[in-house]
This record gives sequence, structure tokens and C-alpha cells, in this order.
Amino acid sequence: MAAAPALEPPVCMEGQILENRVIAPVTRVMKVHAPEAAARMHAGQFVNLLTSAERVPLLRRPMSIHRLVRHHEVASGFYVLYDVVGPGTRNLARMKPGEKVDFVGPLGNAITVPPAARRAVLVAGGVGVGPIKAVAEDLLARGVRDVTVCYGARDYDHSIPVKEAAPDGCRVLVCTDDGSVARKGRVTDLVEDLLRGGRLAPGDYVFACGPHAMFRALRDQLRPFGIAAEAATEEFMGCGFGVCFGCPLRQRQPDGSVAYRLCCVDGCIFPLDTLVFDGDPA
Amino acid sequence: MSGGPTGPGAPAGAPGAGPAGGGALDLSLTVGALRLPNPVGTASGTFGKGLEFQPFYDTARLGFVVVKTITTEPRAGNPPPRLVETPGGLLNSIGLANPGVEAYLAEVLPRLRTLGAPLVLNIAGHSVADFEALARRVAREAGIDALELNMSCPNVARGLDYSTDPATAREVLRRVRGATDLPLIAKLSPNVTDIRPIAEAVAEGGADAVSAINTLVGLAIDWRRRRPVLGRGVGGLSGPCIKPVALRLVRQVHRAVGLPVIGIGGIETADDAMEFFLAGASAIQVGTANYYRPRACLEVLEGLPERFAALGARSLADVVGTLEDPPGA
Ligand SMILES: Cc1cc2nc3c(=O)[nH]c(=O)nc-3n(C[C@H](O)[C@H](O)[C@H](O)COP(=O)(O)OP(=O)(O)OC[C@H]3O[C@@H](n4cnc5c(N)ncnc54)[C@H](O)[C@@H]3O)c2cc1C
Ligand SMILES: Cc1cc2nc3c(=O)[nH]c(=O)nc-3n(C[C@H](O)[C@H](O)[C@H](O)COP(=O)(O)O)c2cc1C
Ligand code: FES
Repeated sequence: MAAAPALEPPVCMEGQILENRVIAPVTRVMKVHAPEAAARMHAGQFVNLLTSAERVPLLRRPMSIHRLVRHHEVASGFYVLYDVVGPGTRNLARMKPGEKVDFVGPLGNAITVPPAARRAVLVAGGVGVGPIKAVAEDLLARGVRDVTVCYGARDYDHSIPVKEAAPDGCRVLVCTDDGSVARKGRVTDLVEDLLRGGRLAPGDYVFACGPHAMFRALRDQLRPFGIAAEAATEEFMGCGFGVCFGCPLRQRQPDGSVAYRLCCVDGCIFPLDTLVFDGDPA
Repeated sequence: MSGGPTGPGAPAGAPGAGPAGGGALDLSLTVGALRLPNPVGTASGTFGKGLEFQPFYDTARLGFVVVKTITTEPRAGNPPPRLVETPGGLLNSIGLANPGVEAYLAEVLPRLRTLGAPLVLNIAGHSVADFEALARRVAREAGIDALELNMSCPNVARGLDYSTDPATAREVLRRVRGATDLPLIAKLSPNVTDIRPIAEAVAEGGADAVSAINTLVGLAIDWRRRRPVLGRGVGGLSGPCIKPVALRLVRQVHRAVGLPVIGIGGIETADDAMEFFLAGASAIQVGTANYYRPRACLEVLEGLPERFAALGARSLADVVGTLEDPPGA
């Protein structure tokens, strides 16, 4: 295993919103200028955004870092990509360029890429596409040339354009549950094609972000091939920095026992095959 | 203890006397033999394992720190989901997740000692004897300034609820009092018909202060699934929505017993803290607000001088319990 980057502590600050644009009927991207925070950020981490000064909703909303903004190699800000699904994300959608947004970040761990990896497959289910661009750019910068993004969305309203999902230089495969965009199918069908075609093999770096059902299917699919993957998980969060113990998920420990781990500080990225989901044998 | 029972309605608590005749503001107070530099602390279960707030402010500025409840045995905590947001509040069923007293003292306590603020450990026993043993064990360690007894957590399977039966509450305090010289803070549950007999019982049992309130038991329902939202069913409600309930109970406790009261419940700002002082709290704890405003404790503290000045107050004694009844009440 490669050493994970040394992570710096988060900051709590206001960033300036530079963009907040629609990229699909329910999806937006927000660009935030915040050099002090951006300098600490790594692909795979997240920020926790305050969506309302009036405290409605009360809690912050966690969002993956969608992309890091760099000017002449100096980090100046970040993007988040979000689906408008409830009160918090509706508030985000109303924010305008020039306004400030209060956030805590970076939070959580970063991706761990084995130095020998030459090829990578990034698997995104739905709004799990959030962190993909940052991860792909990080991989390309590390010299991993062959990066494939498999992106599965629900339907037309929930699917974002390929150029928003992944940076130039990646291969992008798309499907939707109902076939309204690209091929009809599940994101794991795209992965299946790669496996059969010999375009995904042990030693490749695999990163996945999506719902539990996708994680389970992907794990069961990769296991016979002995292919490891990292999963960026999402649990409901009270704080995002390890103080409320509200975001547990179950992880198989080296001794075979199952223990709760905190999504926000022990993850949100975990080795996929260590996670125990509902319905898995205890 | 200083500030001993002074009868109903008297300004209880043990605020520092304040510099005689001087203009400086003195926010200090005493709880038993413990002197606290200021009245702003953290509420149990909202401050993690100690160092998580260091990136946001200098925790040495806090009046005191209360950390998550410790039990004798390790507890994995309740099944997820453990949290659900409700209007103006948060419903939780964490379930006293903690590594157990031995692991806690070995692994977490050394870190807590570096915080620089007076340290209050919070303990919960599953029986009177367990409370006593836990207090005795914890008190052997250096660097602990006081104990808060969690007599009220709604998130563990029903056994004895020490906070609803005065006789049991008195017995817990009496036994723990016999086990340690550390100042004792009894943390009361709001989930009772009348909080006053419980407050009186812990005072008789030897508590140096009372903290109130813990969370209110509540239920969130997902009607489509015909299930509670939380993994364990019920949970404890906290956050701004419980503040009015907390203020009333703090006032009742303050009037009932002559002990310092530590007010807890929905405090986010210095204005909230002032309301609690007037209701009779000598100190306050910030809980849920720490999650969404990591600097909340510091913001409360920094907002106090201006507000004390607005009332012409120079010390806590000038504000604690000074709420006036409405005319004709
Ligand atoms: C580490 C992390 C990274 C995330 N990254 C992204 C991202 O890049 N883009 C994005 O659109 N969303 C992301 N999410 C999910 C996002 O936080 C929720 O969609 C958001 O909080 C919903 O808030 P709301 O008030 O709009 O809706 P709510 O009314 O609070 O929720 C609407 C729906 O979303 C579900 N939900 C709420 N909070 C979460 C959560 N924390 N995780 C999963 N589901 C949730 C609810 O159960 C409900 O079904 C991430 C979550 C986590 C924990
Ligand atoms: C997630 C969570 C966990 C808590 N854990 C504990 C605990 O372990 N022990 C305890 O005595 N109180 C615990 N509490 C209660 C708080 O200390 C406090 O009494 C309550 O939340 C009311 O204050 P607030 O509205 O400011 O949060 C917890 C509260 C929350 C929200
Ligand atoms: S969200 Fe609070 S501990 Fe993870």
C-alpha cells in the first residue's frame, strides 16, 4: 500500500462563491474561492457547508470536493457538485456568485494510490460522481495515464454531461437506469465489460462512490478477480469531524470481528472489501 | 462547598466575588473546591476525544470541558441511523458509544490533559455500585478536575433511571461522594414530571452542582416504512428547539436547591447564555451547536463582556438568577 498523504487539520472559514451553475436538471456545481483551505485539500476529501445563516436546516451539509482549483500550481479554491434534493441543497442552489459560503474542511481521508498502479477505473453511481473529477485529475497528475470513468445515473434529469464528470484525458462510459441517456443499464454492467475485455485487472487502482447497493454489487463483482477498490462512503453526519459519533458504518477488522467506524474521520474512504452492508452475512 | 444551600429563590451558584470596586469583569466561579476561570464549557458527547476542536480555537480559553460519557465496559453504540435532523433540533441515539473506562483512561485521558481547560469527566453506571466503582477508578487518575454524573441518558436500555427516582438519585450521589473528593456535578434528565425532587435529592446526596438538561426523549417516524427513523427507535432531542424547556427547568432547579446550576440546552450564542444566567445558571454548556458552529463556545465567551456591560454587571453574581417575575405574576 502506498502511504496516504499527510493530512492537515481542517479550517472553518467563509469562501467566496465564484460560480453556481446548473449542469443537469437537478444538479449544480459551485466554485468557491478559499486559498487557505484549498492548499490543504486532497482528492477524496469533503467539505461541510453551512447552507443557512438562519439555521434552517440546522446542520451543515457534507459535499465531496469535486475539483481543486489551481492557478499556476497554487491552490486557490474548490468545486462541489450537488443534487438538489432537500432544504439544505435548495439553499445552496439559491446562493449567488459574490456571496460567501461558510464551510469546514477539508475533512476525511484522501485516496491511497499504489505507486505501481498504471491504470485506474473510477466507478460513480448517481451523485457519487461528486468526487470523481478530483480523483481523476489527481491520478493523471501522478502519471496514471489510463483512467476510465464508469458513470451510471438514474435518468436524464439526474445525468450530468461527460465533460462535467471527468477531466480531458479520461475514457468515460455512461449508462442510465432507464436508458434515457446513453446505454440502459447499471454502472456495474460497464465494469463487467471492462473485466471481460481485460481492461480491469489486479494491480489497477479502483475508486468507487455511490449508494450501498452499488458498493455491494461492485464488491461481489471484483472479489473473484482479486481486484481491490477504495469506496468513498456517505453517511448522515452530525458534525463531520469526529465529535458526535453519529456516522458509523460497519467494517470487518483484521481479526474477523465487525466494528463500527466513523465515516467522517475514519473515512469517508475505506477499502471496499472491508465494509459490511445491510444484508451481508454477519 | 462554597455557595451552600441558601434557600429557595436565593441567587445560588458560587460566582466569584468580583474585584472589589474595580471595573474589570470577573467571569470566574467555583463548583465545590474547583475554581473555573469562566462559565462557558462543552456539553458531554459533543466534544469528541479532545483534540478535534484545536484547529478551530485555543481550547485553553474554555471555562471547562466535559467529555463524552464513560462506562465501565466498552460500548459499541447503537445501530445506525443514529441521527436525524428535526426542525431546530437533532434527535440522536448514539448509545453511549465509548471504549470503556480502562481504555479511555489509557488512550484518551492523556490527550485531554493537554487541552489546557479544567477537565470534567462524565460517567454513567448501570447500577449504584457501578457508579461508585467507576468514580473510584476514575478518581485515581491525575488531571481530572471534576466528575459529571450522567444520571439521565435516554439512549441505553431501561434499567434503573437514576434521574426519575429521588431515592435512587440520592443514593448514587451518596455512594459516589464516599468514593471521591472530586467536585460532583449531577446531570439531570428533563424526562420527569417534576425535576425539583430529583434536584433536592442529589443536593442531599452531596452533589456540588447540578447540570440540566440532558436530551428530551423523542421519536421520529418514517411512515412509508412504518418504522422509526432511528435504528434504535427513540432518541434524545437537542438543539435550539429545546432551549425554552431547558430555561424553565434551570429556573425550577435554581429555585429549589442552593447549588450552582449549569445550564444546558440549545445554547448557540452569548444571548442564549445570558438567558440561562438570568434563569439561575452559574455556568453553561454548549452542545449541539459545536457540530455546526465549531467555534460556538468561543463566540459565546467572547460575547459575554459586552452583554454583562449592558446590564451593568461585573461578575456572575450580578446576573445569576436575577430574572424578574412579570408584574402581577
Ligand atoms: C462525505 C459525504 C460526501 C457527499 N458528497 C456529496 C456530493 O458530492 N454531492 C451531493 O449531491 N451529495 C453529496 N452528499 C450527500 C449530501 O450531503 C446530501 O444529499 C445532503 O446533505 C442533502 O441535504 P438536503 O437538506 O438538501 O436534503 P435532506 O432533506 O437532508 O435529504 C434529502 C435526501 O438525502 C438523504 N441524505 C441526507 N443527508 C445525507 C448524507 N449525508 N448522505 C447520504 N444521503 C443523505 C436523505 O436521507 C434524504 O433521502 C455527500 C454526503 C457525505 C456524507
Ligand atoms: C449526539 C449527542 C450525544 C450526546 N452524548 C451525551 C453523553 O454521552 N452523555 C451526556 O451526559 N450527554 C450527552 N448528550 C447530551 C448533551 O450533553 C446535552 O445535555 C444536550 O444535547 C442538550 O444540549 P444542546 O441542546 O446544547 O445540545 C449528547 C447530545 C448529543 C446531541
Ligand atoms: S459526523 Fe459526527 S462523528 Fe462523524
